[in-house]
Parts: sequence; C-alpha cells; structure tokens
Amino acid sequence: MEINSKPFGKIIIDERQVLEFPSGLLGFENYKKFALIEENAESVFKWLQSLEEVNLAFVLIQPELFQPNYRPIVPKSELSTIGLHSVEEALIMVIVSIPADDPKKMTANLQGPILINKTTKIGGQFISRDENHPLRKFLLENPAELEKV
Amino acid sequence: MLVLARRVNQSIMIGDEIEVIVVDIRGDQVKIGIKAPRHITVHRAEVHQEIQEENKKAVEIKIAPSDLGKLGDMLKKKNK
Repeated sequence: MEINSKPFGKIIIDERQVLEFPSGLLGFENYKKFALIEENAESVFKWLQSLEEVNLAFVLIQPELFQPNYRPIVPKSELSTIGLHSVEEALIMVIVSIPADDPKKMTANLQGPILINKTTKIGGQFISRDENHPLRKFLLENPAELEKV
Repeated sequence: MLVLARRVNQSIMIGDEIEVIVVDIRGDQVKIGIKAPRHITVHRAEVHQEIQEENKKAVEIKIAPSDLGKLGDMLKKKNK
C-alpha cells in the first residue's frame, strides 16, 4: 500500500508494517494507526509514522542497541490490553528526541516505552515502573559528563 | 478533598483493597507506601504529563533521513 510519510514522502509499505495503537500515544490519544518504517534494513533508527496525520512521526530505536539489559516493568493488567502476558513477548522500542540545535544531545525515553505485540501488530505506550528508567537517556553525548572533563 | 493528618507508619485505607502508608518524613519530602491489588496502576501524578510533553517534543523533530543515518552510525560505533 502507498502511504504519505513525513521523512520519506510517498512510499510503498507492506501491510505487515501497519500497527494499531488502540489508546494512541500519551498526548496523542486520537491517532491509532501507524506504520513502522525505516530507510533500510541497517538503519539504527526507525520511524513510527501516523497513517492519519502525515506530520505525526516519531523516531524510534530498539533499546538493546545501547542498553542490552533494558527490561521495562509493566503490570500484567496493562500488558493484557495488547494481548501479552510478559514484556519478553513484546517488540520493545523507545522514542528518541533529537534537539534541532544540537542533534548529538539526542535522548531516548526509557520511562515510556512502546511495546508491540508481534503477532497481532497491536501496540501501545506504557510507563515503566522501574525508577531507574529515565525520561531522557542521552545516547551520544551526555552534557553532565562533558562538564566534568 | 478529604484531608487527614497521619504520622509515620500510620496509614489510610481507600476502599477495602488499597492501603496508603506514610513510611518516612524528611523535611518537605514524604515517602509513601501503597498496597494495592495488581490491577490498580499507581504512579507519580507528574509521570503521565512528563511523558506527554516528551512525546510532543519528540514529534517536533526536523531532521533529514541522511543526518539521522549519520547519528545512527555514531551510535553504532559508540556501542560496539
């Protein structure tokens, strides 16, 4: 199917890339249909592109690329809303924020991960109850560390 | 709003299933313990709002796919 995407314009995607977010994302509860797209198979970053609003697109990354032991703590009752019993069954992605003036200060949101049921393609944004999962985890440069040097 | 005065180790019940206990008080910070059934979700009130705001910031992204690719390469190198 053909879709309009924010990063790549008009592109053709496979139906299997289409995801349903019954509760939307926090702050964007009205947008429920997305596609997971990427520039190519080697891309570190993926895009979560709304199929209802072309300007609504998030950059995502799989946390194991920078924090292999990351495992969000989410109550079973919440996981059941996307048909899962444990976090291990989910495709786990986190949203990346990239400041326009200094992209190297990009951060990933480990507190509000995106979990996707790989079989049904139903996903949602959840809140990890692990207090060690920050809202903004620096991926490349940590300003606090730079100051120490 | 119901307001109750409690001391450390005293608690209040909300319905029959939820117990809120004052664990510790230091200065202007209170540590609160919550006993609730699994299906009740509990988190700090500001967490929801913080994630909403972070999402709104993330979606304002203006980056060319090629620049994003470069950032990806840097990240790969860093985490090798």
